[in-house]
Amino acid sequence: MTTKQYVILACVVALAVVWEFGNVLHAGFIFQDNRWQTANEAGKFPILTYSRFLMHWSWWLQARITPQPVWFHVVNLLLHVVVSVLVAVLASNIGFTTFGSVLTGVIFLLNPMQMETVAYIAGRTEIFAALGVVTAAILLSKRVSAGRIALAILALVFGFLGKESAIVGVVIIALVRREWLIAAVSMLVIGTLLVWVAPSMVEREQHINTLMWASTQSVAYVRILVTSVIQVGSSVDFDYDQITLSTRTLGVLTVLFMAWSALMVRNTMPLITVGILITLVVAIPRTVMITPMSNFNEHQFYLAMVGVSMVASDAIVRFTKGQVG
Amino acid sequence: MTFRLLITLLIVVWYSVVGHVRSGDWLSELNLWTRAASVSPNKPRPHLNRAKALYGLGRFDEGDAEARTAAQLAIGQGQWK
Repeated sequence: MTTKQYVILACVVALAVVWEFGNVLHAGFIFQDNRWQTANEAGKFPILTYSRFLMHWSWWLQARITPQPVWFHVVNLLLHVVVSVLVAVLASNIGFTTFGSVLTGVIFLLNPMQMETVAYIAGRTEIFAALGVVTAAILLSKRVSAGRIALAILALVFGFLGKESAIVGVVIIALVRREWLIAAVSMLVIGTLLVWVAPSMVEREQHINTLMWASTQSVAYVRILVTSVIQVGSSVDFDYDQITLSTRTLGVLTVLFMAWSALMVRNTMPLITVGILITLVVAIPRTVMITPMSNFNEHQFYLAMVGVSMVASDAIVRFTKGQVG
Repeated sequence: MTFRLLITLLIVVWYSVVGHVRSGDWLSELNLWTRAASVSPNKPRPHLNRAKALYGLGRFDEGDAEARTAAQLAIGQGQWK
């Protein structure tokens, strides 16, 4: 594509952002946002020992500067745009062409799956986590130096202060560098840590079987993945209680098949491998951490959308290769 | 106009239209839980939250009906006794 065409695209994308997300700027505090608004109006500065510090800190700060809901939504949207640009930069660093990088960023920015994360103010935790992880991945995707490692660690800490799920950033960095063995070992370590650290008391109290939970989450992951592509059936609080054993089995098999497929094409289509594995890496902790009140949902899929965007972009680049003109 | 630009613009338009429609779900509690109840009609919680939203809007009769639906589903599924 020519420079003029990129400028046209940029203008259309800007209009699309306004059209797509402009509606939610007028929404109030809904869903659990009411609870956080009440908590942060208490006047107490959120202390470091509280998890998801960045979300609470930013909320506390905003509540004192611009307390109207519209500005909370504006900040969420602006942060999402920043992450989208970083996703495009990351794509460029790991081997996408200019067109592929831009397309990756556009898909990440505009995919309707992102609506929940942007519209739901508490989804800011996911955006902060992604901001840290993607920044760290950018820093170490090409060259490694002591300075870059230090900055990447700071970025990961930033992401972790956004949401603890940013811990998978270590694996994602290994994936974008195509260091498959390091990624696998890191994932194993994180998975083991979660098995021991995760509140196993929850299972005892709630009588939730670990295998049942893992299979349900697998179904949830596949469902959200499919929804991100075909854009049908999106909603909060999906009814996973009614899914059958055969559906759960299919969910687990699908996840395993995706992992196997990704590894099979790592030499011929490495960017697709990276994309698929990024989505899986984000999902795996959710199959281990038992959170009875909340199955895997769309705003928790935010970081995984980086992988989805990469896969979609690479597929489109390959498809259009013969038609370039 | 290249084929690639055309494909990209199609994606942009498609996403923005679908996204705009989806954004309606997030405009109010009632919209959110109406949508959730339509996608998951057999789950009690969306109906219960929809009832709360209706009560908040002063639509008590509709809220009562929704709360009854939630209760029946919860009892039927053994979640409430």
